[in-house]
Amino acid sequence: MTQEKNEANKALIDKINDVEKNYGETFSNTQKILLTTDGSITAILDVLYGKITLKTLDQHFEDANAEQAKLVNVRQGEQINFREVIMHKDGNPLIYAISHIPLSRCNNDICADLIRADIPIGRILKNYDIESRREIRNICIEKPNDRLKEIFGTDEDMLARDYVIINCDEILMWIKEIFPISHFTEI
Amino acid sequence: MNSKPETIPNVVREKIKELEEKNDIKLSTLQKVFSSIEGPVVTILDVLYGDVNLFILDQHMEKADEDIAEKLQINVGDEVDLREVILHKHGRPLVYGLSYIPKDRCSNTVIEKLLKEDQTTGRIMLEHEIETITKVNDIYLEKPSAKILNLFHANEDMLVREFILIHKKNVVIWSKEVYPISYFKE
Repeated sequence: MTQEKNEANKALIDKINDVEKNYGETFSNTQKILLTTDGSITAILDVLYGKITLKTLDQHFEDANAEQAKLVNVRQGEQINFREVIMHKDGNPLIYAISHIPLSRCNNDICADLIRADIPIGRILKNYDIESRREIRNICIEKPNDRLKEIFGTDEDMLARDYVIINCDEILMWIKEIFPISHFTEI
Repeated sequence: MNSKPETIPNVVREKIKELEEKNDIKLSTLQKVFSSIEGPVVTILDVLYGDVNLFILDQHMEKADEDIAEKLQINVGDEVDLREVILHKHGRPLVYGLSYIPKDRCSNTVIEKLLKEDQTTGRIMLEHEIETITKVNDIYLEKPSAKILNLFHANEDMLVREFILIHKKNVVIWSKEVYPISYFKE
């Protein structure tokens, strides 16, 4: 029998511990899970709340600026799909998310789904059997901008994370998810 | 890429609902999360408990019988790595895991690492940047076997999740995670 300390997720543990330490508060189990899961958040929320709904606030194609180009590893000026969505349950906003998806890395079917319907990205990946892995880049606390204050109806601090979904060794999408620090403390 | 399929239903949510209704129980938030996550439960355990430890109970190569061959969609007699582990924190068992990994679908490096008996499959996947799809096949309750009873010292129903990881359109891991129904209630 062999015993070994499992350090596979050390970086992730360090990230969440650092944020908790700097903020001076302990996060709930659900918050920690939502911030660190390497799978789809929609899948988790779906199971916890029953079917959740996606509302697309904005969705358009644009030329990547320097910052966006860096996030998804494309040349500046390349076309990307920008999506801004709210995951909600019965009208109550749960999580706000933005994503950048390089057009050159999507096939027509995925592009069509991104444009035409309120389908979560996790479900799009599942629907098309896309093999992928996720790399969490940052976990942090942020002050809400005016848009987030309006969406969530609060000016409290926000928990945020951003990550990339990688397919065929290339970044298929960059996603940032944000929710108020008082969310998911009870469930 | 295939033509556009119909949007698939949330299988995990339906299975949990079925299980709760059939057994007249309510799963806790954590139990539901453990059932729905994509990939091994160890990632979440690490974050919630600080890094958890791994005991490898058994690890060896064997020829696939009919049952294993069906699980992995391989031929009977193909070589399979069997891993049986217990994840624990300070000696307290948390989750028992059993997995089958078809040798022919792994690179030599991955097989070498598996056989070293000193790394979790999750870590190996992470290190090798393996892109996958997770499919949860089943979530159910079962009575503990003598082995499970001995590990957990809990004579109660066990919550079980079976899932597969698909890579390059083939099943590369079949896995089963088991823990007592009274665990992860907080």
